[in-house]
Amino acid sequence: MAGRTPTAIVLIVVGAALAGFGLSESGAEFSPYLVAGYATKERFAAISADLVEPGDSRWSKDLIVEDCLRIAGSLFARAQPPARRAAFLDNCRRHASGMTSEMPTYSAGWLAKSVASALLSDFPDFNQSLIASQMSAPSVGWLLEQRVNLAVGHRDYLSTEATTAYHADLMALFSTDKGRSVLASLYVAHSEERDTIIGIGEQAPVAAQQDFLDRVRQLVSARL
Amino acid sequence: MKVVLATALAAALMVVSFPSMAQTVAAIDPSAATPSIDPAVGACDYVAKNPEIADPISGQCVTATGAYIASLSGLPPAEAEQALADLVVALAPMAQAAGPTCDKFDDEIAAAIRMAATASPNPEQVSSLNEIADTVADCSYDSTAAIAEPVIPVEPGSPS
Repeated sequence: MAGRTPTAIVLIVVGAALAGFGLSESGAEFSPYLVAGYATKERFAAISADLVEPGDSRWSKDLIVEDCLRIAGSLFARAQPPARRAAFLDNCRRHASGMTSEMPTYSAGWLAKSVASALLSDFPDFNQSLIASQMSAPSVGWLLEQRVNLAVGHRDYLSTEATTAYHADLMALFSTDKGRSVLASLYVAHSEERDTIIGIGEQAPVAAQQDFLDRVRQLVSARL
Repeated sequence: MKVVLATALAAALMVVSFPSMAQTVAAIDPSAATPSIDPAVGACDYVAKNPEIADPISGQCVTATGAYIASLSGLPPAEAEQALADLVVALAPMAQAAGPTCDKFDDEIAAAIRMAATASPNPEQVSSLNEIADTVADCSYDSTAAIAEPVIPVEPGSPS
Protein backbone atom coordinates (compact mmCIF):
# COMPACT_ATOMS: atom_id res chain seq x y z
CA MET A 1 0.00 0.00 0.00
CA ALA A 2 2.82 2.41 0.91
CA GLY A 3 4.49 1.81 -2.48
CA ARG A 4 1.41 2.64 -4.47
CA THR A 5 1.09 6.29 -3.43
CA PRO A 6 4.45 7.47 -4.83
CA THR A 7 3.73 5.53 -8.04
CA ALA A 8 0.33 7.18 -8.36
CA ILE A 9 1.87 10.61 -7.85
CA VAL A 10 4.50 9.96 -10.51
CA LEU A 11 1.83 8.78 -12.94
CA ILE A 12 -0.31 11.84 -12.27
CA VAL A 13 2.62 14.24 -12.70
CA VAL A 14 3.74 12.56 -15.94
CA GLY A 15 0.14 12.45 -17.18
CA ALA A 16 -0.34 16.13 -16.38
CA ALA A 17 2.88 17.01 -18.19
CA LEU A 18 1.80 15.04 -21.26
CA ALA A 19 -1.64 16.63 -21.14
CA GLY A 20 -0.07 20.07 -20.87
CA PHE A 21 2.16 19.38 -23.85
CA GLY A 22 -0.83 18.09 -25.81
CA LEU A 23 -2.88 21.17 -24.97
CA SER A 24 -0.03 23.40 -26.03
CA GLU A 25 0.25 21.62 -29.38
CA SER A 26 -3.52 21.77 -29.81
CA GLY A 27 -3.41 25.50 -29.14
CA ALA A 28 -0.82 25.94 -31.88
CA GLU A 29 -2.87 23.81 -34.28
CA PHE A 30 -6.09 25.69 -33.63
CA SER A 31 -4.65 29.21 -33.37
CA PRO A 32 -5.01 29.97 -37.11
CA TYR A 33 -8.73 29.25 -36.70
CA LEU A 34 -9.21 31.05 -33.39
CA VAL A 35 -7.20 34.21 -33.87
CA ALA A 36 -9.56 35.92 -36.31
CA GLY A 37 -12.81 35.48 -38.18
CA TYR A 38 -13.26 34.15 -41.70
CA ALA A 39 -13.78 37.32 -43.75
CA THR A 40 -10.98 38.60 -45.96
CA LYS A 41 -10.66 41.77 -43.87
CA GLU A 42 -10.13 39.78 -40.66
CA ARG A 43 -7.73 37.24 -42.18
CA PHE A 44 -5.70 40.05 -43.75
CA ALA A 45 -5.56 41.89 -40.42
CA ALA A 46 -4.45 38.78 -38.55
CA ILE A 47 -1.66 37.87 -40.97
CA SER A 48 -0.39 41.43 -41.42
CA ALA A 49 -0.31 41.92 -37.64
CA ASP A 50 1.64 38.63 -37.33
CA LEU A 51 -0.96 37.03 -35.07
CA VAL A 52 -1.07 33.73 -36.94
CA GLU A 53 1.43 30.90 -36.69
CA PRO A 54 1.00 27.55 -38.40
CA GLY A 55 0.87 24.39 -36.31
CA ASP A 56 2.72 21.22 -37.21
CA SER A 57 -0.07 19.66 -39.25
CA ARG A 58 -0.51 20.04 -42.99
CA TRP A 59 -4.07 21.13 -42.24
CA SER A 60 -3.09 24.27 -40.34
CA LYS A 61 -0.43 25.13 -42.92
CA ASP A 62 -3.00 24.87 -45.73
CA LEU A 63 -5.23 27.38 -43.93
CA ILE A 64 -2.54 30.05 -43.92
CA VAL A 65 -1.35 29.28 -47.46
CA GLU A 66 -4.90 29.47 -48.80
CA ASP A 67 -5.41 32.84 -47.10
CA CYS A 68 -2.15 34.14 -48.58
CA LEU A 69 -2.99 32.92 -52.08
CA ARG A 70 -6.56 34.17 -51.97
CA ILE A 71 -5.84 37.59 -50.52
CA ALA A 72 -2.34 38.63 -51.72
CA GLY A 73 -3.31 39.91 -55.18
CA SER A 74 -6.95 40.66 -54.44
CA LEU A 75 -8.60 44.04 -54.87
CA PHE A 76 -8.89 44.21 -51.09
CA ALA A 77 -5.15 43.86 -50.55
CA ARG A 78 -4.24 46.16 -53.41
CA ALA A 79 -6.34 48.98 -51.93
CA GLN A 80 -4.78 48.71 -48.47
CA PRO A 81 -2.18 51.14 -47.10
CA PRO A 82 1.12 49.99 -48.60
CA ALA A 83 2.77 49.41 -45.20
CA ARG A 84 0.04 46.97 -44.11
CA ARG A 85 0.09 45.24 -47.46
CA ALA A 86 3.86 44.83 -47.29
CA ALA A 87 3.55 43.40 -43.77
CA PHE A 88 0.96 40.90 -45.01
CA LEU A 89 3.18 39.81 -47.90
CA ASP A 90 6.30 39.62 -45.72
CA ASN A 91 4.53 37.40 -43.21
CA CYS A 92 3.06 35.21 -45.94
CA ARG A 93 6.53 34.76 -47.39
CA ARG A 94 8.07 34.02 -44.00
CA HIS A 95 5.44 31.39 -43.23
CA ALA A 96 5.78 29.84 -46.69
CA SER A 97 9.57 29.73 -46.33
CA GLY A 98 9.28 27.89 -43.04
CA MET A 99 6.75 25.44 -44.43
CA THR A 100 8.76 24.61 -47.55
CA SER A 101 11.89 24.16 -45.45
CA GLU A 102 10.02 21.51 -43.45
CA MET A 103 8.22 20.05 -46.47
CA PRO A 104 10.24 20.59 -49.68
CA THR A 105 7.47 19.07 -51.83
CA TYR A 106 4.78 21.40 -50.49
CA SER A 107 3.89 22.92 -53.84
CA ALA A 108 1.17 25.24 -52.54
CA GLY A 109 3.68 26.68 -50.07
CA TRP A 110 6.18 27.33 -52.85
CA LEU A 111 3.43 29.01 -54.86
CA ALA A 112 2.48 31.27 -51.93
CA LYS A 113 6.16 32.19 -51.58
CA SER A 114 6.36 32.95 -55.29
CA VAL A 115 3.27 35.15 -55.21
CA ALA A 116 4.48 37.12 -52.17
CA SER A 117 7.93 37.58 -53.67
CA ALA A 118 6.48 38.79 -56.98
CA LEU A 119 4.32 41.35 -55.21
CA LEU A 120 7.32 42.42 -53.11
CA SER A 121 9.33 42.77 -56.33
CA ASP A 122 11.82 40.06 -55.26
CA PHE A 123 11.98 38.50 -58.71
CA PRO A 124 14.85 36.04 -58.15
CA ASP A 125 12.85 34.38 -55.37
CA PHE A 126 9.63 34.68 -57.43
CA ASN A 127 11.29 32.63 -60.17
CA GLN A 128 12.93 30.05 -57.89
CA SER A 129 9.75 29.44 -55.93
CA LEU A 130 7.63 29.21 -59.08
CA ILE A 131 9.98 26.56 -60.48
CA ALA A 132 9.92 24.65 -57.17
CA SER A 133 6.11 24.71 -57.15
CA GLN A 134 5.96 23.36 -60.70
CA MET A 135 8.50 20.63 -60.00
CA SER A 136 6.77 19.46 -56.82
CA ALA A 137 3.25 19.29 -58.35
CA PRO A 138 3.40 19.33 -62.16
CA SER A 139 -0.17 18.13 -62.70
CA VAL A 140 -2.39 19.36 -59.86
CA GLY A 141 -5.21 21.34 -61.50
CA TRP A 142 -5.71 24.30 -59.22
CA LEU A 143 -1.99 24.82 -58.75
CA LEU A 144 -1.45 24.75 -62.52
CA GLU A 145 -4.12 27.40 -62.99
CA GLN A 146 -2.72 29.69 -60.33
CA ARG A 147 0.88 29.29 -61.50
CA VAL A 148 -0.09 30.12 -65.06
CA ASN A 149 -2.01 33.22 -63.96
CA LEU A 150 0.98 34.29 -61.87
CA ALA A 151 3.41 33.75 -64.74
CA VAL A 152 1.22 35.66 -67.20
CA GLY A 153 0.85 38.53 -64.76
CA HIS A 154 4.65 38.80 -64.39
CA ARG A 155 5.73 37.70 -67.83
CA ASP A 156 8.47 40.28 -68.14
CA TYR A 157 10.18 38.96 -65.00
CA LEU A 158 10.23 35.25 -65.81
CA SER A 159 13.72 33.73 -65.96
CA THR A 160 14.62 31.25 -68.70
CA GLU A 161 14.09 28.33 -66.32
CA ALA A 162 10.80 29.74 -65.02
CA THR A 163 9.63 30.19 -68.62
CA THR A 164 10.32 26.50 -69.18
CA ALA A 165 8.22 25.70 -66.09
CA TYR A 166 5.46 27.98 -67.38
CA HIS A 167 5.44 26.20 -70.75
CA ALA A 168 5.27 22.85 -68.95
CA ASP A 169 2.22 24.09 -67.04
CA LEU A 170 0.56 25.22 -70.28
CA MET A 171 1.18 21.76 -71.76
CA ALA A 172 -0.30 20.11 -68.66
CA LEU A 173 -3.42 22.28 -68.99
CA PHE A 174 -4.02 20.88 -72.47
CA SER A 175 -4.50 17.42 -70.99
CA THR A 176 -7.76 18.08 -69.07
CA ASP A 177 -11.18 19.57 -69.82
CA LYS A 178 -10.85 22.14 -67.05
CA GLY A 179 -7.32 22.94 -68.19
CA ARG A 180 -8.48 23.60 -71.75
CA SER A 181 -11.18 25.95 -70.42
CA VAL A 182 -8.49 27.83 -68.49
CA LEU A 183 -6.34 28.04 -71.61
CA ALA A 184 -9.25 29.29 -73.71
CA SER A 185 -9.94 32.07 -71.19
CA LEU A 186 -6.25 32.95 -71.15
CA TYR A 187 -6.12 32.96 -74.94
CA VAL A 188 -9.09 35.33 -75.22
CA ALA A 189 -8.03 37.67 -72.41
CA HIS A 190 -4.29 37.91 -73.16
CA SER A 191 -3.49 38.52 -76.80
CA GLU A 192 0.24 38.68 -75.99
CA GLU A 193 0.18 35.01 -74.90
CA ARG A 194 -1.61 33.64 -77.96
CA ASP A 195 1.47 32.70 -79.94
CA THR A 196 2.90 30.90 -76.90
CA ILE A 197 -0.31 28.99 -76.27
CA ILE A 198 -0.64 28.00 -79.93
CA GLY A 199 3.01 26.92 -80.02
CA ILE A 200 2.52 24.68 -76.97
CA GLY A 201 -0.86 23.45 -78.24
CA GLU A 202 0.66 22.19 -81.49
CA GLN A 203 2.44 19.55 -79.40
CA ALA A 204 -0.81 18.35 -77.82
CA PRO A 205 -3.00 15.54 -79.24
CA VAL A 206 -5.24 16.64 -82.12
CA ALA A 207 -8.42 16.01 -80.13
CA ALA A 208 -7.17 18.29 -77.35
CA GLN A 209 -6.28 21.00 -79.87
CA GLN A 210 -9.72 20.81 -81.45
CA ASP A 211 -11.45 20.94 -78.07
CA PHE A 212 -9.38 23.98 -77.10
CA LEU A 213 -10.34 25.78 -80.32
CA ASP A 214 -14.00 24.94 -79.78
CA ARG A 215 -13.83 26.47 -76.31
CA VAL A 216 -12.18 29.61 -77.65
CA ARG A 217 -14.96 29.98 -80.23
CA GLN A 218 -17.62 29.51 -77.54
CA LEU A 219 -16.03 32.19 -75.36
CA VAL A 220 -15.73 34.65 -78.21
CA SER A 221 -19.34 34.03 -79.28
CA ALA A 222 -20.56 34.55 -75.72
CA ARG A 223 -18.83 37.91 -75.54
CA LEU A 224 -20.27 39.24 -78.80
CA MET B 1 -8.82 10.85 -3.41
CA LYS B 2 -7.37 14.31 -2.77
CA VAL B 3 -4.92 13.84 -5.64
CA VAL B 4 -7.75 12.84 -7.97
CA LEU B 5 -9.77 15.91 -7.00
CA ALA B 6 -6.79 18.19 -7.50
CA THR B 7 -6.15 16.77 -10.97
CA ALA B 8 -9.81 17.15 -11.92
CA LEU B 9 -9.76 20.76 -10.75
CA ALA B 10 -6.64 21.50 -12.79
CA ALA B 11 -8.24 19.97 -15.89
CA ALA B 12 -11.40 21.99 -15.38
CA LEU B 13 -9.38 25.20 -15.06
CA MET B 14 -7.58 24.42 -18.33
CA VAL B 15 -10.89 23.90 -20.16
CA VAL B 16 -12.33 27.14 -18.81
CA SER B 17 -9.28 29.04 -20.06
CA PHE B 18 -9.85 28.00 -23.72
CA PRO B 19 -12.01 31.04 -24.66
CA SER B 20 -9.12 33.32 -23.80
CA MET B 21 -7.28 31.89 -26.82
CA ALA B 22 -9.81 33.56 -29.15
CA GLN B 23 -8.98 37.09 -30.07
CA THR B 24 -10.86 39.64 -32.01
CA VAL B 25 -8.63 41.51 -34.42
CA ALA B 26 -9.68 44.97 -35.48
CA ALA B 27 -8.71 45.83 -39.01
CA ILE B 28 -8.18 49.48 -38.03
CA ASP B 29 -7.49 51.33 -34.79
CA PRO B 30 -10.90 51.48 -33.08
CA SER B 31 -10.04 54.68 -31.21
CA ALA B 32 -9.56 56.70 -34.43
CA ALA B 33 -12.41 59.14 -35.11
CA THR B 34 -12.86 58.26 -38.79
CA PRO B 35 -16.00 59.54 -40.50
CA SER B 36 -18.46 56.89 -41.62
CA ILE B 37 -18.38 55.75 -45.26
CA ASP B 38 -22.08 54.86 -45.09
CA PRO B 39 -23.40 58.04 -46.79
CA ALA B 40 -21.00 57.65 -49.72
CA VAL B 41 -21.62 53.92 -50.03
CA GLY B 42 -25.37 54.48 -49.77
CA ALA B 43 -25.33 57.09 -52.52
CA CYS B 44 -23.28 54.84 -54.83
CA ASP B 45 -25.53 51.89 -54.05
CA TYR B 46 -28.55 54.01 -55.02
CA VAL B 47 -26.92 54.83 -58.35
CA ALA B 48 -26.09 51.12 -58.79
CA LYS B 49 -29.80 50.34 -58.51
CA ASN B 50 -30.67 53.24 -60.87
CA PRO B 51 -27.78 53.25 -63.38
CA GLU B 52 -29.66 55.55 -65.77
CA ILE B 53 -28.85 58.48 -63.47
CA ALA B 54 -25.12 57.72 -63.37
CA ASP B 55 -22.89 60.69 -64.15
CA PRO B 56 -19.11 60.37 -63.74
CA ILE B 57 -18.71 64.14 -63.46
CA SER B 58 -21.46 65.30 -61.09
CA GLY B 59 -23.43 62.18 -60.16
CA GLN B 60 -24.68 61.38 -56.68
CA CYS B 61 -22.00 58.75 -56.09
CA VAL B 62 -19.14 61.05 -57.09
CA THR B 63 -20.59 63.95 -55.10
CA ALA B 64 -21.07 61.89 -51.94
CA THR B 65 -17.59 60.40 -52.32
CA GLY B 66 -16.12 63.88 -52.64
CA ALA B 67 -17.89 64.97 -49.46
CA TYR B 68 -16.59 61.91 -47.59
CA ILE B 69 -13.03 62.50 -48.78
CA ALA B 70 -13.24 66.13 -47.71
CA SER B 71 -14.29 65.00 -44.23
CA LEU B 72 -11.03 63.02 -43.93
CA SER B 73 -8.88 66.14 -43.98
CA GLY B 74 -6.98 66.49 -40.75
CA LEU B 75 -6.70 62.76 -40.15
CA PRO B 76 -3.21 61.37 -39.59
CA PRO B 77 -1.81 59.92 -42.83
CA ALA B 78 -2.05 56.27 -41.74
CA GLU B 79 -5.71 56.65 -40.82
CA ALA B 80 -6.48 58.57 -44.00
CA GLU B 81 -4.87 55.77 -46.06
CA GLN B 82 -6.97 53.14 -44.28
CA ALA B 83 -10.17 55.17 -44.65
CA LEU B 84 -9.56 55.55 -48.39
CA ALA B 85 -8.80 51.83 -48.71
CA ASP B 86 -12.05 50.97 -46.92
CA LEU B 87 -13.95 53.29 -49.28
CA VAL B 88 -12.46 51.78 -52.44
CA VAL B 89 -13.02 48.23 -51.17
CA ALA B 90 -16.69 49.14 -50.65
CA LEU B 91 -17.15 50.86 -54.04
CA ALA B 92 -15.23 48.74 -56.55
CA PRO B 93 -17.28 45.54 -56.18
CA MET B 94 -20.46 47.52 -56.89
CA ALA B 95 -19.33 48.01 -60.47
CA GLN B 96 -18.66 44.30 -60.93
CA ALA B 97 -21.92 43.33 -59.23
CA ALA B 98 -23.92 45.66 -61.49
CA GLY B 99 -23.46 43.22 -64.37
CA PRO B 100 -21.28 42.54 -67.41
CA THR B 101 -22.40 45.61 -69.38
CA CYS B 102 -19.81 48.36 -69.25
CA ASP B 103 -21.75 51.56 -68.76
CA LYS B 104 -21.77 55.00 -67.20
CA PHE B 105 -22.14 53.55 -63.71
CA ASP B 106 -18.73 51.89 -64.09
CA ASP B 107 -17.37 55.25 -65.19
CA GLU B 108 -18.86 56.97 -62.16
CA ILE B 109 -17.45 54.37 -59.77
CA ALA B 110 -14.06 54.67 -61.48
CA ALA B 111 -14.23 58.46 -61.09
CA ALA B 112 -15.03 58.08 -57.39
CA ILE B 113 -12.06 55.74 -56.94
CA ARG B 114 -9.78 58.20 -58.75
CA MET B 115 -10.89 60.90 -56.33
CA ALA B 116 -9.88 58.59 -53.50
CA ALA B 117 -6.54 57.96 -55.21
CA THR B 118 -5.85 61.68 -55.54
CA ALA B 119 -6.59 62.18 -51.84
CA SER B 120 -4.13 59.55 -50.62
CA PRO B 121 -1.02 60.90 -48.88
CA ASN B 122 0.95 57.83 -50.00
CA PRO B 123 2.25 57.80 -53.61
CA GLU B 124 2.26 54.01 -53.69
CA GLN B 125 -1.39 53.89 -52.67
CA VAL B 126 -2.19 56.60 -55.24
CA SER B 127 -0.77 54.30 -57.91
CA SER B 128 -2.61 51.19 -56.62
CA LEU B 129 -5.96 52.95 -56.38
CA ASN B 130 -5.56 54.42 -59.87
CA GLU B 131 -4.88 50.92 -61.20
CA ILE B 132 -8.09 49.73 -59.57
CA ALA B 133 -9.95 52.69 -61.12
CA ASP B 134 -8.55 51.77 -64.56
CA THR B 135 -9.74 48.19 -64.09
CA VAL B 136 -13.22 49.35 -63.13
CA ALA B 137 -13.38 51.81 -66.03
CA ASP B 138 -12.29 49.09 -68.48
CA CYS B 139 -14.66 46.55 -66.89
CA SER B 140 -11.68 44.14 -66.98
CA TYR B 141 -12.38 42.59 -63.60
CA ASP B 142 -10.20 39.53 -64.18
CA SER B 143 -7.18 41.70 -63.60
CA THR B 144 -8.30 42.86 -60.16
CA ALA B 145 -7.26 39.49 -58.82
CA ALA B 146 -3.62 38.68 -59.46
CA ILE B 147 -4.36 35.00 -59.23
CA ALA B 148 -7.52 32.94 -59.42
CA GLU B 149 -9.12 31.43 -56.36
CA PRO B 150 -8.52 27.71 -55.97
CA VAL B 151 -11.47 25.53 -56.96
CA ILE B 152 -10.60 22.98 -54.28
CA PRO B 153 -7.75 23.19 -51.75
CA VAL B 154 -6.05 19.90 -52.61
CA GLU B 155 -7.03 17.20 -55.08
CA PRO B 156 -7.38 13.73 -53.54
CA GLY B 157 -4.18 11.74 -53.76
CA SER B 158 -2.10 14.66 -54.92
CA PRO B 159 1.41 14.98 -53.53
CA SER B 160 1.17 18.75 -53.06
